[in-house]
Amino acid sequence: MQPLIDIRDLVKTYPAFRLEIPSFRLEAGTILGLVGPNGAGKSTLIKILMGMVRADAGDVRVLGLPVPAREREVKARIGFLSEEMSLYDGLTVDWHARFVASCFPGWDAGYAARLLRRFGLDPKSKVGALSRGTRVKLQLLLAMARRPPLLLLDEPTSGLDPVVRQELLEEMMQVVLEEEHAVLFSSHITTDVERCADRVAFLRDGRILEEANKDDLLDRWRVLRFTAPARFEPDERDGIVRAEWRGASASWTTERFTEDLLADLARRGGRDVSVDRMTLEEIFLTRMQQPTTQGASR
Amino acid sequence: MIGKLIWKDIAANRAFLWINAFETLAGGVLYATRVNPWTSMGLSLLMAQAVQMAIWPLFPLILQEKDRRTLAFLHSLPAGKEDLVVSKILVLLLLTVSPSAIAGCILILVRGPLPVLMPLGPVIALLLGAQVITVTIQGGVALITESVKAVGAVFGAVMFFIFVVTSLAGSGKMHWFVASLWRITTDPRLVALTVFLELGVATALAAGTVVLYRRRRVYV
Repeated sequence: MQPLIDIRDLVKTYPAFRLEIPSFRLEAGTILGLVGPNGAGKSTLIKILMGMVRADAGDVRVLGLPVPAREREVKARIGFLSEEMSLYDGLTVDWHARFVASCFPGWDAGYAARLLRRFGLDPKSKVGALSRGTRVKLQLLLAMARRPPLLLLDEPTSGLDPVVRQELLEEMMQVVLEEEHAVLFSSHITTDVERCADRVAFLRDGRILEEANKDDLLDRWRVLRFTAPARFEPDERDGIVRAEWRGASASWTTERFTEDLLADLARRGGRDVSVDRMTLEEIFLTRMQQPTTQGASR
Repeated sequence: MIGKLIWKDIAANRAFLWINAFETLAGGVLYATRVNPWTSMGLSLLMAQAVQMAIWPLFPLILQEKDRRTLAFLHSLPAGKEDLVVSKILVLLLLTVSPSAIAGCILILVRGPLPVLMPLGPVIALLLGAQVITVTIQGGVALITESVKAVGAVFGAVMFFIFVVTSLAGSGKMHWFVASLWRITTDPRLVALTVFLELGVATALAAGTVVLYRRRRVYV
């Protein structure tokens, strides 16, 4: 099946920043969380996918079409929401819904009405009178009622309270239940990504450090705590990204955990070994502390 | 799509249309009826025209600021950058070239410039030129450059077109204003003073806004 996003050899250079992505694909039926610190290039990547920023080099295809060459057709089938997106304060919820509906032939009025009720939006309210959370709900409604095969969400949950975030994430997951749909959302709130993404991509300094299935990632990354009569260095094949010793106690973080590693530790004198799973946030923070060259092959 | 974008802009900025309509109506009543300027009605009508004249040069800046904030929303619509640029230019012209500007231009064509405007010519040219240059360049260019980088070669021609049209609109508006005033008081000193104050306020307002906008780095 054709990927909904297909990027090859993408380069975009600014005076103090360079985005460089050799290869990136997003398949249908996937929610991909793009995680990275501020300035990592998340928004730039999404803007390139929307045709808002033009790449210096590379091939960018969205829904099988080249961007920005065919941006109108692509945008007609994308739901886009951005943290920096503003609607018209002086106009009502209903006006925005009617205007966006007139631009998208696939607008699903029944679904829009259902979301309106679900999000508790009053059609007669002016946007300027809505809270930040309610505005994001409206933006999500405007994006989703187009029934787009692809949703691009740039920091959609930033600055929202946990209840509203939960509502938005649930609705997002509901969208992907329809198999041909996909969501790419950027966030620095790793708990949101952990809750709803199938795949995760870590972005730093304009490069994707790692892109993987979320469950695989959570399975592979572990913290091993053990004691040993004498210190020893980890093997390269163990995938240890951080090894700390305090006296006879060790704490190792691995990105390639297997049962073989435990056997290896026991063989080398490790005792009282405990294995802890890591949260996505812990993995993310560890990843961000690694030199760029490590793991940059992906 | 361009039609929808224009419709959206007009709906979002319909206050400008009301301001233009009210100013034209006020000028029309003054021009047609010779209302005594020192009556409350005459003063109100004159003020309505003067206030609109003063804030008119700010229209492009206000539009640009609104566009800056809603740019991501506009980009989420199935429109290309060229659609956005063309619709912005048309809306800018639509809101700038109001009925009063057209009426003023027609008056100049039909009757020639009013005698009172002749000695004021250099002053008006200077002040109006300053307004048009600062506002059009700062507002118009910024409005367009945010989304027109790809259009490159067309840029110069578009800017020249906007400059010419807004200059004409400015002259027309000023002529409409003075012609309305001239109909009710033919004292050149009073008309000159009014025009001078009007242009001075408008220029100060436009320049002040430009300075404030630049300090806020709105165009970055």
